[in-house]
Amino acid sequence: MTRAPLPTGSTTGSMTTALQVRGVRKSFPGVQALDSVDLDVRAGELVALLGPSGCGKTTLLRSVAGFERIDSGRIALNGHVVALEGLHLPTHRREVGIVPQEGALFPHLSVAENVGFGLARRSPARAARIEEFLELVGLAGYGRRMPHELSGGQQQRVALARALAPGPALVLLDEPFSALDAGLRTELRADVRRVLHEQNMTALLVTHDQSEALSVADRIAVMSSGRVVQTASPLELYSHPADPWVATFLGEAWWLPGRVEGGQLRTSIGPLPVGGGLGPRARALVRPEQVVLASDGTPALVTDVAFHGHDALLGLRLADGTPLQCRLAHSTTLPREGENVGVRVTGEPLLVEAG
Amino acid sequence: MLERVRAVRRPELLVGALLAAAVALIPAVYLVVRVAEAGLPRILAEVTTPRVAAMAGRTLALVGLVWLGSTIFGVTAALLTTRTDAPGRRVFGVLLALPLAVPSYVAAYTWAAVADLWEPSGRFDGFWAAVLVLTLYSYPYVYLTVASALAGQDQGPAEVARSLGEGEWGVLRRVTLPGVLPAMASGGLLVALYTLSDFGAVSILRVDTFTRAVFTAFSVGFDRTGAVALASVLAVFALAIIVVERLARGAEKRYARVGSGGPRRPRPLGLGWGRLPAAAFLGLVAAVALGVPLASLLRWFLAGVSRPGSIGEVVAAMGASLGVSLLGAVLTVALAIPLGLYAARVRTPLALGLERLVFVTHSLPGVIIGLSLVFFGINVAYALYQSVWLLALAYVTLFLPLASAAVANAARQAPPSLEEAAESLGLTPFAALLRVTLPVMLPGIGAGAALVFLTAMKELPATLLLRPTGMDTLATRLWTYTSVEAYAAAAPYAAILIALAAVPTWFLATGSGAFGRDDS
Repeated sequence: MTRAPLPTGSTTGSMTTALQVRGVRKSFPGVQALDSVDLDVRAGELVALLGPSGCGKTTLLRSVAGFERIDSGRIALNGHVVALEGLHLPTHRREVGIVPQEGALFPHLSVAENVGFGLARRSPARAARIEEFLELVGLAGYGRRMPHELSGGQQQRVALARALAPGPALVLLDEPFSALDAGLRTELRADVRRVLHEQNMTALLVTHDQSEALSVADRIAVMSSGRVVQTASPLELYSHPADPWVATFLGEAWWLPGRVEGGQLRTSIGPLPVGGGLGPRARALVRPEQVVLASDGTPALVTDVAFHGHDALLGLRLADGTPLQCRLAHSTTLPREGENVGVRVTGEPLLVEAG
Repeated sequence: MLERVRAVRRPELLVGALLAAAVALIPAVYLVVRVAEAGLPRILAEVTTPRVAAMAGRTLALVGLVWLGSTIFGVTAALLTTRTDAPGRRVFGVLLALPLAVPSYVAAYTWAAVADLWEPSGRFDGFWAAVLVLTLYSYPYVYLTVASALAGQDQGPAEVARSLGEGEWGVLRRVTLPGVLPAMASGGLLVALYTLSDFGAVSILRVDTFTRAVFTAFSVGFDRTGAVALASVLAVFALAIIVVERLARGAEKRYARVGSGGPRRPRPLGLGWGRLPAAAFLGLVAAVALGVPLASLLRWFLAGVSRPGSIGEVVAAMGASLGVSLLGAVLTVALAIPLGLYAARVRTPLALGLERLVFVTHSLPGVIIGLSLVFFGINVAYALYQSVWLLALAYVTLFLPLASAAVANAARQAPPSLEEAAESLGLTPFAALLRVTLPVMLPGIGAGAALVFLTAMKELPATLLLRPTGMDTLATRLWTYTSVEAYAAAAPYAAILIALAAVPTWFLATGSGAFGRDDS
């Protein structure tokens, strides 16, 4: 075997936590890339690390992989500490699989040799395991091809098979879909999700694409300026963001100001349910899909119409000047710019804050 | 087991790179040691004589005139072949690069060997002969760099200038030529450096420049201090040229283009009635530069190979050249791998410094490297003296940058993400280097080795000074026969050397991107 067993002892946390990151800090000259990051990934779970470029998500992935040495904090894989301040288990002893952005297939080796790279060279089960994983990613029979004979999507499938074949403790996916075109990306995302779940594999996916994180992940950790700001399921995150930044990072949202009266926020578009502990005045954040057209609703001026095919986004201005957007599901007629419509807000606001 | 955090991520590469730089620096350092031993007053007494002053004037005049001639020829030829509708420009585009395949001393030999056809005295030598020969066979350095810069030039500024009312010549003068100025400067400085370093051509053409004087002082006059003194002046001249070259390259950055969109090919400039004179100019340069060596070889080759015993002698010289060049290439590449990888992967000031240091010794004339290693062999490493190892060491010093540039280029084919993927699959960093990085880099390393091998085959001054007694290579045979005007005997060696040098030149001329097929 090319791989030595993981160290025993120094066991922390419960065994269902596959990856535990605690207070990890890492700085580069002039930049605090990771600023006390905490993250837990449970066994069998696919967690997306989502954030704008420069937020530290790639540094976190590279620190988990062992390509970067952390300044302080602790990283544990399946209960075994792999990184502490001044201590560093090298990558080749960590049992993490990597699917890099551009695949990084070994160009001098065939597809089968790529997939078998992490397997013991003389193992009798080797050939069968290579074939099993090629079939799993939908490339049965491609073993003799060379990487340059494959399309970009196929290369990423091989990279996934190569990472999974040795049975790693954790798979790290570094923006693996970003180099592909839109249609292929959607198809590959679904396949990767299926394969990871079938193998009951724990995975951490780095992405800056909100729709990718929302559609693929079991849970999402949102990062900003070297910190994890919120970790939640996609639905929870979208409808209950921790702060306005997270809310607007995940999609469009608009503030509605109003007066607080008897558990309700009275806005110019109607009352919204809010909790207690607010002053006399407050504002609520709502998504465009919570705004619906209603002939008996509050009057609003259509300032802008953007048609996207499957839906349309209307820019609105209320009588008091408040700007707002409304997402219309596919319909045969659309209001025109300059037209007056009636609107209503449904559901609970994402966030409410005093002021 | 957890390992202690190390300060350096690739210690094995650093050690290898430092070793490579140390080996390459031996001649330069030893020259300084010799100068210090002789003492500055003695060195100054040796070089402040009217003879040395005249020689310095002659050397600098030769360098200046060859630089001027090469720049005029090179830039004109590049403009005509890449930017105009001159007839036959595609064919001339490749033909005009081929003089590079004729080493300067081979060129000097071929001209001297047919001089009796037009010169009653039958002699072809002296200062102006050297200017002509060195210009004709080094202008391709300017021509290739400028042609490649012209081919890569973005047409945006030229089109804007045209829209602002500039005519064809105005665009050429105010936009196109200023844009290729850095290429012109770096090609021209390469010409100056090679002219200063040239030993073979000036000694065959009997012009007293520094390189010839260093060689004569040492191997004819046995004047060691005099040779060291002259060599140190020559080294100072070479360093001055390198510094100017560095400054010119720094200026190149200002012309960098933003973005990487494929540049559009410009509409060729219509020469009108000037098409035929332009073609005639290109044809004349190509015909003279290539025709004379060809005529010379045709005249003497058969006589040369039919001389009794010549075949055996050629085969022996070929064997010696192959053996010592192969040894040099293997040593050079072995040292270039850590140096090139380190320079490509670790962009620290130390890495950049090592790369530059090695380039400086590469730029020193071969006669200095040879002389310094002779003293080093006699005084420090006597076991190596008179062995091929010392000669191979000279090749390492002279050609390490060629190989390390090839390795650094190849390293770009093997991005660090490949090694990271291998490490994540359970390989140690060193195993990842052996099983992934080196196999991926192999074609590039092979090309670098071939280049060093072919360049070492042509090397003359260091080989003359360092070859073991009794050993003759292709280059030394050619030189010896030419110096006694045995033109027939020299011909087979000239033919083989031109054939060897043609291989890299062909790739350079066809691969520069200047004469692509798609420029309809």
